[in-house]
Amino acid sequence: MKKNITDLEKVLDLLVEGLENKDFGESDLDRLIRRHPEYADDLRKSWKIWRELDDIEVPEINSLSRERFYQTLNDFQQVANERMPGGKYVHINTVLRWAAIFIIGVGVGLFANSGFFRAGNVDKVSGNGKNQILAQLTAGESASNRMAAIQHIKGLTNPEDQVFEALFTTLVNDPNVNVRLSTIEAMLHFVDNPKSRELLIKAITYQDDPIVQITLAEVIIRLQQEGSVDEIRKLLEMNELDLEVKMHLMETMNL
Amino acid sequence: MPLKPKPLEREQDNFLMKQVQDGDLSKMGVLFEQYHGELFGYFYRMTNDPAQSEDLVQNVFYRLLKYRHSFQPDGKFMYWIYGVAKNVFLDLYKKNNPLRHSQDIQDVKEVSNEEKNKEEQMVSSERKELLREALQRISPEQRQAIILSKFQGLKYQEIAVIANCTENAIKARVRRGLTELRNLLDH
Repeated sequence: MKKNITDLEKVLDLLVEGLENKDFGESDLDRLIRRHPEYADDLRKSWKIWRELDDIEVPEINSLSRERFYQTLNDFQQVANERMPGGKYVHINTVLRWAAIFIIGVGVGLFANSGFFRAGNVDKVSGNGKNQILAQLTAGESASNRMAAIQHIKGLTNPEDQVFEALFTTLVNDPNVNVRLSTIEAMLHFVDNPKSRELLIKAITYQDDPIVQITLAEVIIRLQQEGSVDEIRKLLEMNELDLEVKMHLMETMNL
Repeated sequence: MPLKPKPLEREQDNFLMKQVQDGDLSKMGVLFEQYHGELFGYFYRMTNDPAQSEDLVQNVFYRLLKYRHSFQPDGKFMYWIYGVAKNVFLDLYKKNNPLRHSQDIQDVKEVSNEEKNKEEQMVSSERKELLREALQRISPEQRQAIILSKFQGLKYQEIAVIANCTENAIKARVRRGLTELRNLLDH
């Protein structure tokens, strides 16, 4: 008997509708065949293929798949962080931080190796001029004036404790980060003076800016100043301490 | 076979994806853990190539992350992820078969005769291998409809949403796919 193709398709459609139900089984197939016995062979063969598809085994996924995905996710997270309002700041901060460390590192290296600045013992500033400079440092209205005062201080020979205290006050209180960083640089200029070293170490626990924190920490580490470990321990206990700074200090000092 | 997410987990997918959209990208990790095994099974049955299937899974999640803002929270996440999976697969298919029309079954029929001769000698394991090969020879649309229904447990109406066609078209694809597989294996 020649089969009607359209009818065959209709009957197979009934099977396909049944297969949507996961509980469709032999009894359902038999019921369908009883209703359409002329298509029994087609129905059985289609049903057999459907079931045999279960025999196609799927291998285990490569264990590196997870690593690949999380690397991709990490890349997206980094890009997203940089695009966030605070994210870019953090990124720039990091760059500045390490730039500051580089500058300070070079400065410390110069002092440690050459004693160059001590050799240039030229008192370029008179007594009255010194007082004016200190006034400009502590009370100057603009950051550029205070920076200029710091540059003048670097020209002093054997400055008195009063000068270091003024620098310390600036390092602790000045609202401008660049001024505070310049102050560190100036105090490093006189790093052979015990007062300068003492105040550099003391200043670290007053800092709330991560750039200044890590710059000072790096200075202390490089100077290997006696007693500096205690100051750094105090710093590590501060809640305000930047996490990156904390980790860097702990790694460097083996704390 | 990879475990499929439970219905409750599926309901949470939209919420997780919304969190991803809002900036908490770590939630994509939760979605990856839920879906990557299932997607790997889907692609493996579609391609019969484990390495390629793994690449396709990675590609899907890359696109989910890249186009996360295009997700519509009022739609189902499952539709979206399988829609992306469909596109990822079709991109690969077009790349590998630039001149081949998706509904062109001429090649299939030619292979059918070839397979017919093989069938005479085959044993059970060979039949399994032939079925695996035959599945690769039916059109990708038919293969997708069969796999999404049989292995991913989706309803025809759900597959229709993913494939962007009608439910009846999906039923027809399943029927034609089964008929093609029979032709390849049993004649």
